[in-house]
Amino acid sequence: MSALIAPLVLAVIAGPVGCLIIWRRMAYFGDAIAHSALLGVALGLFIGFAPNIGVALICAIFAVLLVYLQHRRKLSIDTLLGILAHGALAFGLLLVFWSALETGHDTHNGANHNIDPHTLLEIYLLGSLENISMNQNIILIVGASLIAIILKLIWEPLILMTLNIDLARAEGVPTLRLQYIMMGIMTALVVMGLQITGVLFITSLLIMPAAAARQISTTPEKMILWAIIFAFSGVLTGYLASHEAHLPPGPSIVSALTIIFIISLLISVFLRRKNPRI
Amino acid sequence: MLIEGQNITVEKETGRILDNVSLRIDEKDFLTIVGPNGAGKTMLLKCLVGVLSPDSGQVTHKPSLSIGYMPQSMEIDPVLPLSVRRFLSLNLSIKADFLSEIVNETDIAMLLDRQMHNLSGGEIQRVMLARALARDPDLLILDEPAQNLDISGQLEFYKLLERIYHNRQKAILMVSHDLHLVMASTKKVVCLYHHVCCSGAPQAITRDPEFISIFGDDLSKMMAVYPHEHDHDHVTGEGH
Repeated sequence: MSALIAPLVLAVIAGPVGCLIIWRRMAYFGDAIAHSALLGVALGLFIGFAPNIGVALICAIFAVLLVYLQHRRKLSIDTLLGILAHGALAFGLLLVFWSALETGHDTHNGANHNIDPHTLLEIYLLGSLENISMNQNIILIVGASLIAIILKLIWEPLILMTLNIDLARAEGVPTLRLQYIMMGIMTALVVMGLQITGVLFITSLLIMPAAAARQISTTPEKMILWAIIFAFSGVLTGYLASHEAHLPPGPSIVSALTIIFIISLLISVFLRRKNPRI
Repeated sequence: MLIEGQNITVEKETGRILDNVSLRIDEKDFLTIVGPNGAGKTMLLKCLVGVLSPDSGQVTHKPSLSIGYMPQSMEIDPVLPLSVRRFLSLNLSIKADFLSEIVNETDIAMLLDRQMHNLSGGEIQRVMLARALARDPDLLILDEPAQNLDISGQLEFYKLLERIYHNRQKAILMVSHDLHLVMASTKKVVCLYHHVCCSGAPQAITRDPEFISIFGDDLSKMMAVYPHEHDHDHVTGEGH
């Protein structure tokens, strides 16, 4: 039971954050940050501190870099994101193999010394069902609550800014600060979710429930509520299925979310027939 | 004085968009900026509103000045579900009766429960105007507010604007291409082409040689014979 706490907390907070990501068209950013996370893991292993700290550090650096690069326009932002994301992924992968070889010889280096690089990669790319400690659960719950409170505080200006940035700025909304806060929240969520869904699937956990929710919602708040419900059901089914069938949780969860999205699409076609104004 | 811009200069890679532009808006002004495409009109409004900061020069607002800003061409992304009703009070505390007054004034009562992304161009313009008014502004700043409308829609919109101006006695600063429609209601015209070419009362400005050199002789002749029928008295402004 307690193994379910972390994934379900993550699912609940993924609802509102995922909605903001698709409203503000930040899915690419989320992916780039997630890919850079592997570099963080690898650096953590290589230098010898906890992978979570490495991930948080590298992700934060990437997030700031991305906000900064948004304002340079020689290369388009999707090109830059592609370079950053896959560059970080490539270096991260190489470093994981390299540090695995190094630690293989070095028997003093604590718990990591005999982890096969392929197992390690499977865990970080596809997620793991390994029991999450009570401490980590508490960190996750505190983190998720903090994000929820911050979002509640900046909700209305954030929506206004999403609608039209000039209008928001003219009405005194500190748009740049909000952009950094959004990046911070997204980075925190990627770091929090990494262990459960893996690098490859964290963005999908964020955007799929929100995209499904958009099909059947008429207000921002309803959309968030549906996104939470969808994320919750997707994570629950995916997680249980992966537990029963011994499959990696990342792909299981995202498969479940994909099915939910397809169903929501069908429902919306049906609804639109009855009421074309949605 | 509501807003004063002094020597506003904005540079882009392509050159100087705004070159030492100074402009002052006083209470109850109705000022229209005209100029060819790419003349820097939108940029100037953004500087005056505070959306952009100029590369050099200064913009001063009256303390606690409230501006109702209507940006150029709102494109509504359908990914955000939002009703008109919700949009009008977004990030804003507004009393119900004041809101319904504005809704009636701008004639958008039947739009309130529609989704923003389903509105037509003309409907969006009216909703945006309502949003600008909802802040009970001292000054309305409108960037080509009638550009997505057909000719009768434009006439309607400018009539509405003139009604608002007379009812509320608030200042209006507007960018417009529709010279012939604007001439009747505006009190002052500023002709902008990176710098202020000329400014003055609408009837006088069409005879200004700079105006003629930018807009051509034909237009200014057309303006000169355009009948300015005023079925009301303008409040005499002071401080020009």
